[in-house]
Amino acid sequence: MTALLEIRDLRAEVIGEGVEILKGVNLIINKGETHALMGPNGSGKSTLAHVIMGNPKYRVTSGDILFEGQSILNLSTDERARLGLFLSFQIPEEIEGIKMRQFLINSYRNIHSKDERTLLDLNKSISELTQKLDLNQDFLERYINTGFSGGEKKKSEILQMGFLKPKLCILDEIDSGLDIDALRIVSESLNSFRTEEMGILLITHYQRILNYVVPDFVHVYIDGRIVMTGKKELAEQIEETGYSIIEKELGININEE
Amino acid sequence: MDTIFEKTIDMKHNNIKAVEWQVPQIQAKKDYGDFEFQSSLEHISNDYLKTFKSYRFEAYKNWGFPKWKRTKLNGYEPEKYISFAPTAVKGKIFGINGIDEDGIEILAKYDFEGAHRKFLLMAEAFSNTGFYLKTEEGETREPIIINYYLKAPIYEMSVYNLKPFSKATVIRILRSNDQGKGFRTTSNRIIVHKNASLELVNINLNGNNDINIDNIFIELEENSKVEVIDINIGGKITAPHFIFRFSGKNSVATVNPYYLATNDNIIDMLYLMRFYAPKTTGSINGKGIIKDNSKAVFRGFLDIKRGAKDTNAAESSYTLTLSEKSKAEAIPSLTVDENEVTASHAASIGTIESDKLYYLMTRGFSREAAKKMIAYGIFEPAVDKLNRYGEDISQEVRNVVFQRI
Amino acid sequence: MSRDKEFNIEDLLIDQSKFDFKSQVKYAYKTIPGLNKQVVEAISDQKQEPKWMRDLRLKSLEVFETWRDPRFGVDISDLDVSKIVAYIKPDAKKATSWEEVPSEIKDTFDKLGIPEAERKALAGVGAQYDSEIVYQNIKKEMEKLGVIFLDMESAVREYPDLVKEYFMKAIPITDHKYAAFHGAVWSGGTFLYVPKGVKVPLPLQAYFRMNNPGMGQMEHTIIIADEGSEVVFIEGCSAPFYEITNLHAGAVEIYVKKGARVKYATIQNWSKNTYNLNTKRAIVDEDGIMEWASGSMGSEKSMIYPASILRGKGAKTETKAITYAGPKQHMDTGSKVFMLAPYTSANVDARSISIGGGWAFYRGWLRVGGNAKGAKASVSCQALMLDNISKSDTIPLIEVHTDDADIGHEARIGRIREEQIYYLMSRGLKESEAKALIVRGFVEPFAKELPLEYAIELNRLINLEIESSIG
Repeated sequence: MTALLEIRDLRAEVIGEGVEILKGVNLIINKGETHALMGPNGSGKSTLAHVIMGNPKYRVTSGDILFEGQSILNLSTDERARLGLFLSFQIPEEIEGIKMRQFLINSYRNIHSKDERTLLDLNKSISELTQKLDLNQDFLERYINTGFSGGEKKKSEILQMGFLKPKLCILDEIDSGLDIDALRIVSESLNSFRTEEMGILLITHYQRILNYVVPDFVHVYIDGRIVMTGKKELAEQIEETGYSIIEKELGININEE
Repeated sequence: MDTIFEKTIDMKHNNIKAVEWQVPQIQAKKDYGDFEFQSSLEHISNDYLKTFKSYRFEAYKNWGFPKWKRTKLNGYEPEKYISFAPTAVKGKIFGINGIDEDGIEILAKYDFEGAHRKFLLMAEAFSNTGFYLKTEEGETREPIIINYYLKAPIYEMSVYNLKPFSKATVIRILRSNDQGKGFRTTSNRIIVHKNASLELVNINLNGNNDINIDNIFIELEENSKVEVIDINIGGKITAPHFIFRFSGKNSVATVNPYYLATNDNIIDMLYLMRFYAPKTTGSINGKGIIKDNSKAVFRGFLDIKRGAKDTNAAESSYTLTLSEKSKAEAIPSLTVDENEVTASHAASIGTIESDKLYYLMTRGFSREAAKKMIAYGIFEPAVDKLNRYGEDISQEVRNVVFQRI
Repeated sequence: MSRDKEFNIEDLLIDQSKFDFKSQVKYAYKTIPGLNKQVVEAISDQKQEPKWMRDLRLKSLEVFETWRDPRFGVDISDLDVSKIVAYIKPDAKKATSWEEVPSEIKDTFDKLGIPEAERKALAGVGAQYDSEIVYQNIKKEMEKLGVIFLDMESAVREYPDLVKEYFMKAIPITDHKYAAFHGAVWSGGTFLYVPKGVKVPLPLQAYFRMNNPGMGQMEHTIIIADEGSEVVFIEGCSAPFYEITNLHAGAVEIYVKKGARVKYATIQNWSKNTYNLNTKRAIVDEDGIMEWASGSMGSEKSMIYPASILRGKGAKTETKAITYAGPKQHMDTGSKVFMLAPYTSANVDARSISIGGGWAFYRGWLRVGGNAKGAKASVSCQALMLDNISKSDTIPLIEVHTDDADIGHEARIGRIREEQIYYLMSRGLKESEAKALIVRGFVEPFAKELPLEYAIELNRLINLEIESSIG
């Protein structure tokens, strides 16, 4: 069975600076699996997410990224999105003048171009999701992420995930900046959006969210590579002792910012 | 009665003068003369108006057309004169011929330079359309819509006389057939008396060969309120010229210019707010997009005179450039002669932020589609506001913007 | 809130009296008032100049006579060139050490505190007294490094090819009427050449002095920082008060070559009857950095716009300027930046204080050309109006002719804000102390860049604030 996402020995650099930021990442995510990616601050976890999505700031220098068996290195960001990759941003962009509702509908049409759901139907889904995430109904009349609080921005991303039904979800620190209640709502929604077909890459710094969204695999990411893989218990260990356990086991020096 | 002549640029301080720039002038080879002036009187029966126009005609003869560096105007040759410019009006408003004594007093009392004196005088001496809006005290007038068609040259002379405690809304829409070279120059004197308020919306949908010069003078008395949305799209030369004179305390004015220039359009905007009275508030917030070979010049002038204590003045402009050859210029000017005020200005010019582009692309929008969405997003708040006046109007503007972006 | 003792606006004005004295010095030679071919030729003869320089002067005179006055800025219609005596040479040979300088002249400098500066281990001090460099001193390290630092006349004679390559190339004589005037009668000034890779460890300083009524100060300074070099140059000026109009039409040309870095700090404190029409321009090559620190405190009318032309990829410029406009002063100052190459960046922080009826006018010009992809510029103007009879204006011109640029400009005019006073008072300061602190904070970025005697002058101004309330 082909993996949903396969990353083979991926190396990448920041364009213009020539600094290597991914130093040989290997990762396989199958359908229905939830993978957590943890690492100290400044280790570049977000960068991995962006390189997978084809952010023009980075250039892959060697290795490959395969989605459903096909290399996606030559595809632009929007082409990757249309294949079914989704990235929930750590700091979602604010774009004025475009209302959330319009944005959601158009995004859906981009990604599910052959789908024939009616506008009415789509709007119904959006309203349901808005309610589920405990967002104000006027949320849909506001401009993309503009003036949203931190919590609202994260909910906006999760709503998009639920609505767009991607094949692979990369969630970049979805838990940062959320209070207890928001974390619960976001996690519950996340769990309800999971399907057997969907793969999830959950990038997180803290272990907290993993109590709600239980991962099948936990990876530790340090200095541009995945250095250790385990199960949920690995996350608990790190929570207790910090990343120093990795330091000792692998002899790596960590500089936590 | 003394005339208040509001100069656009007024640079002196106590006994010290500064050197002021003089715009060079070029005489037209075949300028308008007596024949055209007499034609312009055909539809006028009001004697006071005739007299006023003849004074303006005399003054007109002493001026040449300007040589404008930024808009590449090298003088001007007037088009064949038409004595009546058709306009379609919805709502209760008189033609300028219906002006009363009160209105004539306004014409005599207030004078200003306009984008250039010659164009202002031309609009007045040779006016072939014009309106007189007079509200009753305390009246709330239903919105008025004036539709201009840029087929033949338009010379507009209008006066709005808003009596105390009244409210009026005026929407001026100019459409062009984009065939020949359309031309419009206007002269508008708007007096907003105590506690009165005005909403003014200008929608200029110019063709690529049109020249549209819109001169508007607004006097704000105590507690008055003026809100302006000024939308300028296209034009070979589009030159809105607004003078806000805050003479009464507690008066408030906001102006939101939106501009879109494509092809070889040049939009040269001037918005001046001059504060004479205390506790006044004024803000200018311009946003626009330039593309292809076009140019946008944004001149936002805030001039605070001594005695205008506790004035709050702010100005900002943001121009989004979409093409390599498009040119953005900004002259945000802040001249202050009173220290107990808050005044600031800001101007920024930039291109589409790559982060925002990337975000939309992660939602499946192609690069081109994402660019258009972000650019259009600048106009959206204006289009949204227009919904208040009619969905057909907002839809029309939305379509034009979408088409040209 | 209690009011501290009565505020007297006179106290706040910069005390000119320290500089307001005259010396009795014999003059060896004086030109006829006014400007014509004979005067220009006489100047060239006196300086024993090569033919090319003499020709340049005569050509400049031609241009001056045909050009018109600038069509913007301060009103100089009162300026009668014929009354300005263009050139004066005092009766003193050039000195190479402090001891050799004639005693009257030494006295003048003593009063102005130059020896103090010397003691503060500046690398070399050039002092100009009435159009001639009288005192020069270059420490041995500078000579070893290959740094050329001498008065302009000597440079013209000793390094003719080098000077000819750069003289009035950044500011051509046709640039404007007073550039032409300058080209005809320039005298004095500094020539500074820093060789490749040399980083001058201490700031170099020159000091100017005008002492004769009706005199025009026309020094020409050229700084060439060759590839990878670094140098800081500090210039200060003053003149005592006289009835007859004084004119300052100097020129500064700076060439920042690839990867080099130059900082040019000026304090201008000409007395209240001077017209200051100075032209300062830097041409910056690839990865070069030009820093302007400019304090304008004196003169009756000034037009000063330090300009940076960023013509090399990655060139940068930073300008910090402070302008003080006191009673009867009209200061029209600003900055010009031309971004003509990719990835250039500019940062301008211009501040002004106006008081006692003064008029501070900021005039900026930022032009981003079609080739300036990736240009970034940010301009910030802040004006503090300390009373109700002064004026503060800001009129910048921003032109962006490329689509890949990020340009921002902002300006604020006001008085000291209530919120700031409240915050400081909540930390235990008295109202007057809070105000003084804020004003000092406003001026602080520049005080750092200045020679000590001017930093002291600025602090004195602020200390006065501590003793009186602004209200």
